[in-house]
Amino acid sequence: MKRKIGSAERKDFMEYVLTTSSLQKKYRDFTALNNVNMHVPRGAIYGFVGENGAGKTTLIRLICGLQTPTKGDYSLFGLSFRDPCINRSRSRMGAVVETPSIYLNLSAGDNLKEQYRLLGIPSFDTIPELLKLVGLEHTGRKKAKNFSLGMRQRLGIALALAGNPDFLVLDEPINGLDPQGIIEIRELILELNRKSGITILISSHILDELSKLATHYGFIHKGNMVQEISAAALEASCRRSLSITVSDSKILSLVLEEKGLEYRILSDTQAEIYGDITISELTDALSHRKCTVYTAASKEEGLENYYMNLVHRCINS
Amino acid sequence: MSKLLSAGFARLWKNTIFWMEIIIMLLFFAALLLSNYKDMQNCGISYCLDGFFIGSFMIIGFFTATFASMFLGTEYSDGTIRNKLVMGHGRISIYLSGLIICFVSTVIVCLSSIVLILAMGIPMFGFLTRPLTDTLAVICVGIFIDAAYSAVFTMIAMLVTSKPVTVMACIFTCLAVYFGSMSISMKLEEPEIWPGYVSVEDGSEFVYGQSYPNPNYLRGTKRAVYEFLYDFLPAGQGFQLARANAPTPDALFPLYSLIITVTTTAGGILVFRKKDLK
Repeated sequence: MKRKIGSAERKDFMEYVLTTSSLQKKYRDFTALNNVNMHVPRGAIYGFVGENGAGKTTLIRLICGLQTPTKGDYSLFGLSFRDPCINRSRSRMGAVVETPSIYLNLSAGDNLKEQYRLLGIPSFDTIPELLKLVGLEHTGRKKAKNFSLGMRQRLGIALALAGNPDFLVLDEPINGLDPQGIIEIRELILELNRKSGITILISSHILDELSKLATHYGFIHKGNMVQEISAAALEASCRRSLSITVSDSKILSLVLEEKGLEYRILSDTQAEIYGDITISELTDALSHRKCTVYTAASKEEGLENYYMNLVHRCINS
Repeated sequence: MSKLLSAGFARLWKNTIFWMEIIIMLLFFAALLLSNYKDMQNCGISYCLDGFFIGSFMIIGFFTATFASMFLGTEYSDGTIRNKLVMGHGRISIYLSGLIICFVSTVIVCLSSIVLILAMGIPMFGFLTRPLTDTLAVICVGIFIDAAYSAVFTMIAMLVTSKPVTVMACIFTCLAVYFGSMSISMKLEEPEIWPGYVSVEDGSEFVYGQSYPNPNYLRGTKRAVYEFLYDFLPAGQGFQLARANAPTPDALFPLYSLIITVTTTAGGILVFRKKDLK
């Protein structure tokens, strides 16, 4: 059954894999999501950031069809979730929601065979390749219940990739992984995005790790989407600072006041200076007043600080 | 739904609970046949194969309850039901495929016991006394009982998201149906009249009283309701089928099982479609 797509929908379909419009989810009196508008561009790695209970998993459950929104709408590949053909869009998705969805009493290979049958893939020829991709090629007949958390996570991703999805949803994929596992999953995600062009929505608490992957961000706080921003725009808006340790921060503050620079005194000897500054000029001015500079390091406001400032602004407003 | 069934049956053939149920059922009936054969040899008690033949339909409820709660409950405990939804399978298809797999597994368990009983029992007790058409009718009614049990336990397993709670709920429901049917059966079998006491002294009989009506004997509407429930409940039907001297089963039995199957499945699907899953 073919369905005509309107021009506005076509534009969305071309640009965005997922859009949500005033999406709301209530559990009795508790509003888990409140009028969330979200846009996941085609080909992006969309980092979905928020504290525990902010509504990240709720939104993922909604778009995966596990739950129904109370209000609002969302579209996958240009099709509204109310469209009777939405399952066709879903068949282009793969997801790992919270814990990996795997049969614990089956081996990795058998789990993949089960997934292939569910997807209607007649041949199991590509299973070894998929197992190799996620680093589980040597697990043999070992049952998934005996896998480590990282191995289960990788198997969950392999299952999500079984249908060659165009859109991959990963909910906290690096939770509980060891450093090696985190690096492997990161490399896998980057490879899938770059080589196979898969759009990825990834929610994570580990902002430092997310900043190494994401091309776009969505910040959610208490069920409200606070901001959507591209990684490039976020980088441009992040403030750079100079972290400095001196013998006397009072003298430092006098010098900085004279130069009209924004700064923050952290202790009797430490301070942060914002804006463009020539270090040699500063050290000359300080030595002139018998103040010694011990250390000076350039510091960039990271994703974590950006997010914290955003949340504080949100709370204050 | 064919993809769901293909995946479900592939998992069924590897499922330990399913194979254990078949083995337990076979061992149970093999032991029963041997024990009764020994009695027949030693005490001269005569047994009829018809009684054993349909025995599996009497106890299949426990097997279905265990299988449905473990097999379908795994979908929630392992979270694999999410995979099915994410890849675009409809909720009705997911529910119905679970029901079909549960039903087929139940029928396989019953049929495997029937094959064993025929193979072991005919040399021990001779052929069935019922005509073939009646025997086939009884098997058909038994298969409807399987469907009713499968529908009830599938509904519980698909609506309760916690596997331990599902297991408990299925087993308690099964016990309630069994003991309910057993209690109804005992009440229905109360004699209408109690005979007077008879005492034998020195070879002479003395009657101390006249026969009197049994106050526990069910009469009127109450009896009709009890009789209906005994016919309606799958366990009650199973008890009636398993009697060696039972007449041809009531033609309404399959209809009752069908009513249970359709109503529980419709209700289950209605709730499952709206259910928020995690």
